[in-house]
Amino acid sequence: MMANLAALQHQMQSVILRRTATAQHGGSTTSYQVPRDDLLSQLRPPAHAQTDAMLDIYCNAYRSRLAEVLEADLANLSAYLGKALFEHAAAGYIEAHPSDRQNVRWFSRNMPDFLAATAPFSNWPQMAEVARIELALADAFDSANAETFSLAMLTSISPDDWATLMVVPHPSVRRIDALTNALDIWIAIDAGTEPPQAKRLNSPQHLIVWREATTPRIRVMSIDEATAFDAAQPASTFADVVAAMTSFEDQREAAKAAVGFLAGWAAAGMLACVDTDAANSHPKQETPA
Amino acid sequence: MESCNAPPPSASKPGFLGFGLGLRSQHYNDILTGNPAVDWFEIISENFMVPGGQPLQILDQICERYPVVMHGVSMSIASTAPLDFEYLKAVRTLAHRVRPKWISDHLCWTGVHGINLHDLLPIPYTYEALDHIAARVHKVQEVLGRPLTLENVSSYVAFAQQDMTEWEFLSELTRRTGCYLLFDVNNVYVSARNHGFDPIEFLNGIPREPVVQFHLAGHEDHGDYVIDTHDHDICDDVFNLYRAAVERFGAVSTMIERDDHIPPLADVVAELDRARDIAADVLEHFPTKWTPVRRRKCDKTKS
Repeated sequence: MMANLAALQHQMQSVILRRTATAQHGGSTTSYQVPRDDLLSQLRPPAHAQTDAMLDIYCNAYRSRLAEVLEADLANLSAYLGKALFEHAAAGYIEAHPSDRQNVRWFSRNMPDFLAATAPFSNWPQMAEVARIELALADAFDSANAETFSLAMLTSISPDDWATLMVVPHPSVRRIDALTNALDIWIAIDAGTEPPQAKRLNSPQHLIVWREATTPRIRVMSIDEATAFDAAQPASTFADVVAAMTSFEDQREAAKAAVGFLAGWAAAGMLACVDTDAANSHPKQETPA
Repeated sequence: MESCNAPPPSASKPGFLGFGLGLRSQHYNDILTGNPAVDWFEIISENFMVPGGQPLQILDQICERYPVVMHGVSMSIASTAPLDFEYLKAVRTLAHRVRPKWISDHLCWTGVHGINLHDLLPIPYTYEALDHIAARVHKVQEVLGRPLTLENVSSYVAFAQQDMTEWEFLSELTRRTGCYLLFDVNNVYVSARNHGFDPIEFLNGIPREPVVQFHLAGHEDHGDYVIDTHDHDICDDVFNLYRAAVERFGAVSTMIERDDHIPPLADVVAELDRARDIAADVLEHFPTKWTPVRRRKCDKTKS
């Protein structure tokens, strides 16, 4: 008896995912493998090959395709882990995180959390952080466009307007606080050189990732700069940014430091202009060419 | 049985674009600096359904210079999961930017229960499936405001109980919905080898009118079966089937899909020239109503 379309798709997907199903028997729940034979019995024998082997083409292609996506998205992590360990990580991730997006572009996004939470990878925290850095750079590459707030714009602000000046990070900006020397490892791998020995840092390394023109960038921030930048996310007045810089005893000193940070961010393209038409302070979209 | 035979949103059938290629990032620089002898490009829609950055900048430059069509891989038109209207709106947004000559996807499903397997999975050719898919095509065409173009996929399994052949299914779907067909010559070849049908029977079973595009591609031949990998050159058998397709359908916009082991642009253009020569040869012998095929000039300027 041919299953209806919905049942057939459920069955085929379960076989491809090699999922177990659960059944209730009185008060107990039993897990069982979705019967592959049920699906096979509904398939017509192929011209020359075995039906079972032909069904395996779909099962194998599912895993190899997603493994290729992970390899492409996390090429430096792959180089760092080596072929066998990366394949082990990829296989575990594919089973644990089936894609739930229409676009495979975002399939890899949970890999840092997977590595951080799953043994044996969780024993080496730099792996998750290398992955986080790599994906942040990829996100910056094709993140939303916005008109950048330039250094020239900043210098044209009159002193009376500084307190209410809106500080809006560019949509490409990502912040990472690394607990290991993952950045040094990532840089070495990216340059094709031997990575340094992994080590835990005494204090977090504050990283900022953003897109300058079309190129993703990453650099280290001091704790004061990171505090100021985090206060500006997703948008804040300059006065609020200064108020968040509590490590400075003197607010004038904090303001002076904040001006320096702001100038650096503006020069690097880390800030966006404010969309004054929006109800809240959103980055202003670039006018299409 | 589905009774709705409403026509698609009004649009005239797209014309012949000539000979194109799938746009691949490995070729961006050569395309933008070299003006290769390619008449048009097909983009993978999802590659450009991103918020911003360089991909969309490059796409804008390509669209300024060449006609472009959009080819998606995630519509999952045959899935029994609900249609993803957010995805469809994203396709429509991209179409506003690209102004494609047509928008295509595959006659397949890619997942159910909120999971996407990112594969082009086969369907049983039953009236149940036909009713289901035809209703969804109508909805998609409403959202997109234009006829959808659907491609026949390669398949490795076929279902024992079916009400019709694949070509009968495709024909009836176009009749019911007014959608167009992207006739993938390689996919017909691959499925014919795997399932043991005659590819010419498939070809002759498809009506001429809805066919707006041909795909050509390479595959992996394992003897007893063939896998559609798009990572090899196009084999002679597929080119022979292409000749038969041109004889049946006339001058249809033709392009080569290459997704892996991507050779230099000049090599793919040379392969495209072989398709161009086959079409020219056929159309010279069957010249009744088809547009002449010309080699595209290399010095095309923006129009």
